[in-house]
Amino acid sequence: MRSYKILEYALTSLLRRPGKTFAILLVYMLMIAVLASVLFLTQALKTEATTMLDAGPELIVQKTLAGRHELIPVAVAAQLAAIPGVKEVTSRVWGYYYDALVEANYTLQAFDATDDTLTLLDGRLPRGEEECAIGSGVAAIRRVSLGDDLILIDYDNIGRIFTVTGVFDTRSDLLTQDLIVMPDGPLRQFFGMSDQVATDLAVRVYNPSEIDTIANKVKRIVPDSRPITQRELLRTYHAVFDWRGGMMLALFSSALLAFCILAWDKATGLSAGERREIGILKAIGWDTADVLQLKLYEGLALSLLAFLGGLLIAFLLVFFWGAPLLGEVLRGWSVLFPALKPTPFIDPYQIATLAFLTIVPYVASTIIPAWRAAIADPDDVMRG
Amino acid sequence: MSPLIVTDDVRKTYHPNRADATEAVAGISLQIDAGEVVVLKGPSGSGKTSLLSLIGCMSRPTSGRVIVAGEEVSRLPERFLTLVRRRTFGFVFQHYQLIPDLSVRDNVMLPLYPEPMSLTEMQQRVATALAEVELAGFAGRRVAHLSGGQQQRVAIARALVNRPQVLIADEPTAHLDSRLSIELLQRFEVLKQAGLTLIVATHDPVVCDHPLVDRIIALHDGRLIGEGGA
Repeated sequence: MRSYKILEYALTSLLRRPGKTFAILLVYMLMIAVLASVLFLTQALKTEATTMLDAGPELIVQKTLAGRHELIPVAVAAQLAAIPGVKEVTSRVWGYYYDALVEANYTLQAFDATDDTLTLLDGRLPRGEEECAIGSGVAAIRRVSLGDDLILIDYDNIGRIFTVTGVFDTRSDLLTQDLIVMPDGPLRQFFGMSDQVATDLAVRVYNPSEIDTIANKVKRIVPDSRPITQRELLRTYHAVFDWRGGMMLALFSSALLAFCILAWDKATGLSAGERREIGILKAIGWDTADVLQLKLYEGLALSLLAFLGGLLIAFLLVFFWGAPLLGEVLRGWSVLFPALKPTPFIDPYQIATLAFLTIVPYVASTIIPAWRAAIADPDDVMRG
Repeated sequence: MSPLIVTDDVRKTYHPNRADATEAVAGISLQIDAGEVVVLKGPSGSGKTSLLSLIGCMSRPTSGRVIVAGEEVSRLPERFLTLVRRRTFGFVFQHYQLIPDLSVRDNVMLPLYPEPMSLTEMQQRVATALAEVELAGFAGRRVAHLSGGQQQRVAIARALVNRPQVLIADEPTAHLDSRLSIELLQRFEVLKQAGLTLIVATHDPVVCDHPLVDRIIALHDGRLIGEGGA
């Protein structure tokens, strides 16, 4: 009963100082929104990457020369297919293309009938030599649609015309946004690649738990190769997103620090009115514990409201409005950013950490000076 | 019958062990009976407010004893001292010490928050206290919008809302004109008739010479220099 009454008084106290209360609430809420957005988006991108890679091959084999990625002879595929446990080896042809017209990078990939991550939104997959299917990002930036021509400059600096036969849809926009797919032959011609080599080899295995053993065997058979497991790829993606997220959090932590200093300054510098009020409450019979409870409730009410408000803003920002600004920074390398619509997901551990790092310091910075004011004799009130 | 309040060679020194140490109360022993109206009289700096503060459990003596209703309160832990202060005493401060942006009702209600009673009960108590000081119609007004005399009545209502045994008033007429002073003393008379003990610090002759006063205690430089009937 007593706690409830003091809570009621605490809430009315906050409303008695609307300017100060709403200023702190606004700054606090914005800070939580930014920090939570970074956490939400990082987690969402990691989930996207996991979804995307789940459908890919368990092992990718690249040839290296002087530590750099080289084209791999297609003949190696047969050697790898002979390793016990290997289900299938597919040579893949793909590469990058810089479109000077719109200053964007595309990924060009030979059509792989076994790739079930690629589903067409509209049209059909390319069959002819002068046909291609494109990702929605390419379609948007080049302003082409089904049936239109797409002109690309080949390795010999000659312009080639492709008819767009399809526009991709996929479970993950992260994969197809900047993608142009065409049959194997035309892509080799476009890049000037011999049909004896491939960009890399995709290896599928019967039992994913044997993947490390198979990777070791690949390394023994083709010593100048680099077998990359799906798990390693996923770990790299996660590390990249974590790193970017960490960098952003590090940047924003200065904002957090600034807020803590503001909160501390605000709290330690109890206004003369607030100190006087504490003195009056003590003089008319409030215990030090009652005053602390009052200040605790004030701090908790303000910080919880700001925290929940900030989380809600971050949730809407990331999962409904596509994380404007933050998305570009976190996803990174491409000019063609996928239209991000991540699946709503909240990690309770992250929320708890964020709550601990924001609510606790604020409440502490409110309580400590109030305690210092409350332990003084109420005698001062007698003297005005 | 034992006295309600006893001070036994009580002393209060501010900033002890410092160059600017001030002995505000220098060994005062007195007794106040229940229902008595006592005036502490003396010039500014004579120790009236400090003695009121010690009697009202606002501060602790540097030495000596303060006994309230048979219990020595000088050494009580802070929690219990607060409890004695809240349940035994009501205070009317010289500058009223109201919270200006709260309503009259909320100001009067403040001492009741730590008490184990419901909000409804608190509101009833406040209504009664405001009726006693004839401010029933002002409950929703902010105290900042009231006159000095009305603010003092709010302060009295707040002092009475916990139904204390003792009302302590520090220079209650300092900011009142003579008409309001007389009104205040009439109000005090009603409280005396209701059995309340009143301890008033003042140097205002209007109060000192009033027939409601049972005893005047004269102070100078923190010492008791005289005591007698009004």
